[in-house]
Amino acid sequence: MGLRQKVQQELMDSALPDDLKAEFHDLSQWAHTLAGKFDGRVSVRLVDAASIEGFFKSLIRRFWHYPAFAVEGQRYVGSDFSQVDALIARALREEDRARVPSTTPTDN
Amino acid sequence: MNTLLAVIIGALTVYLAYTLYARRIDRHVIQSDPKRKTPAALYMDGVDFMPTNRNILFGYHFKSIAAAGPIIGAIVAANLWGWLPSILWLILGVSFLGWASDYSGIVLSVRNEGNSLSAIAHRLVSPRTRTILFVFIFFYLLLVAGAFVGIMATVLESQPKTQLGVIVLTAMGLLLGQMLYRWRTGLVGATVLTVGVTLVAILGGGWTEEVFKAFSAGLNAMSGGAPLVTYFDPTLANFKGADAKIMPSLLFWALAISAFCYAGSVLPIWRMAQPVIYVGFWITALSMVLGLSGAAVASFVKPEVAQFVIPAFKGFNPQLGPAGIMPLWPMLFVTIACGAISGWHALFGAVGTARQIENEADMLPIGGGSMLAEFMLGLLALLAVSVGAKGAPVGAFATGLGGFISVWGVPIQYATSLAFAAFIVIVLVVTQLLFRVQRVTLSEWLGDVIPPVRNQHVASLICVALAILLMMTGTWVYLWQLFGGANQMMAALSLLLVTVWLVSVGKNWLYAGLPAIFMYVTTLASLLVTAYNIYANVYGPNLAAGRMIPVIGSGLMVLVALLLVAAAVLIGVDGWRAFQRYRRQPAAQPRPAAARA
Repeated sequence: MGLRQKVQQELMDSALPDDLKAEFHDLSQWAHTLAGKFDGRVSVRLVDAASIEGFFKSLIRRFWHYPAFAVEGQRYVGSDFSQVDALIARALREEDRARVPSTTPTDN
Repeated sequence: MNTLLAVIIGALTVYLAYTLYARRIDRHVIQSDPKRKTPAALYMDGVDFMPTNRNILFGYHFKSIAAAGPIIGAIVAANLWGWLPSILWLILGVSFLGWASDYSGIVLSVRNEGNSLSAIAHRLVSPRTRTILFVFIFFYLLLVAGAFVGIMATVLESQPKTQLGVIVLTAMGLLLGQMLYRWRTGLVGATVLTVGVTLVAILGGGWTEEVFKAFSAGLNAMSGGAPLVTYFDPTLANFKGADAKIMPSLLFWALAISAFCYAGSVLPIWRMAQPVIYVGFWITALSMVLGLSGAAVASFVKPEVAQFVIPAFKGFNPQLGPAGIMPLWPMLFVTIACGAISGWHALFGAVGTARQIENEADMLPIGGGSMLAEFMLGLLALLAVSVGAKGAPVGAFATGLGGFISVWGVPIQYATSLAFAAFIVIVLVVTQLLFRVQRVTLSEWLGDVIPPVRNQHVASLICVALAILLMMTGTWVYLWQLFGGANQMMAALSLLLVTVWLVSVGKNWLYAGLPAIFMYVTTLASLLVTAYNIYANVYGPNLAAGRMIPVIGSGLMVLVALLLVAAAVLIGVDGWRAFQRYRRQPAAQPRPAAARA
């Protein structure tokens, strides 16, 4: 292992306490399932809560606890990922519904 | 000259260098192709290789390269040669060399499967180049550590107003880590509390000034008021030379900083380093935003803080008395390092940023753009010291930056406290990370031969002890110039490697080759000048006076300088041979291979 990997590995190993590391692992696993569940229609953007970007996102979206999710403006705070799945499914249904009128042929 | 004009010149430099030169090289020489797959896309593992949005990666790259270098270098150079040569080198350096070095480091890695500079050197130049680069990096880090610990200890000891802020910053960093990761408090509230308390402590440093003065006096009384170490420093007393005295209070602050860095180096990142950096970011950002915008409008609002007061030019070889020779060439070009060109940027760009480039079209805005942004940071430091009062360089910088901040209605004593704190915070947070990298480097380098250095505490203590030895026994200005020489030599070597690669793939190599030759010759000369200065003006007089600790320290510095020269010569010879080889017969494009560092 090269120097770069050694430093990187050490930084990653000590980036989070063990319990949060396990939570992050679960979150990561769940995020990887999204492409299969929703046919690649979902794009995920992960923001580190303990960062400057995280600060402003938390302030704007009024997130006081984590993990926190925003799906097309809908909020959910907690670790029950099935709730996020439901939010995503609803957002996709609404998107489909909004698209229907513009693609439906009209009679003249 | 006033600050408004300087800010306009700086903005024009950024615009012209980017649009007229950098973009042209990107299109016609490198031919960046948005459709070509990058290593981040090819080898995505979610850890090392990760396609990242251009805006986020710009912030990440800039945060990693912007440290104390552009600030300290500009301060020291303005005091040695005047503001005019300093601003000219900043402008010309970043326009023709700096962006090219940063951008090319990323290009080189992206076009070579995300490999690091040392791995590419191993393949393109010669196997021994990789080993030499490894040793080079360790001593380079040692010089940075010595220079940074030295200047922080001096500022803290001489400015008791700053001490409360640093202590509270440490405490608030630890508290923030506890709140976020253990108590799971929301970030907004935790930020308001910890940053707010730190800011109050910084602004209110004057409240405890007398307490800390008494504390220092108490420490110094322990040795009966006698210094622990006395050495001849030719750069003191406005370069007339004088005996420097290491008092117990200075040693105390050096040890306190070392303890901070030691803790930052061995504790989990979440416990200390990350939250301290986070709190420190707000303090620094606040100072820089208020300072830069204040510098731009000061000519209209508060003209007395916008006029340059230091001489424009002090001569090509200022009469420095016993400080030895200090010719503008080559010494200016290593004294101002990061704001004009920096080897660290190329090194980091190649091993870190390049592996996250999502699209080849992002290489220029991220690599070149970050360097141009860092130039503005160096320019701000130069403006601050140019309008600041006479005195110690950091004091002049804080006075100048404080003046810019005061434009916005902040009382000058608070504005100056904020400027001092910003300086210390920038240096402190970088130094703690630097010790971590240095510890790992030492363990990798000597771990097989000397097994105890594999232990993180042993390795950290060795790094800290060496840095303190350099600080206590060397001469700070020379130490800084030695670091600058090593840093700029790293830039020259990365440009040399880029040149070899360009010729190996049949591209026009001049845009990287000419800066490589200039920086290589300049930094070799500067290392030799610095080695001579230390030997003739520090080692010799102290040896004659029988002062053994400074003799050991300055002897170590001379050895490091000569070692760096030898390493650079070996790499240069190998690089030249490779260059000639590829000119005769360009290499085949590299086959896809696993990336390595």
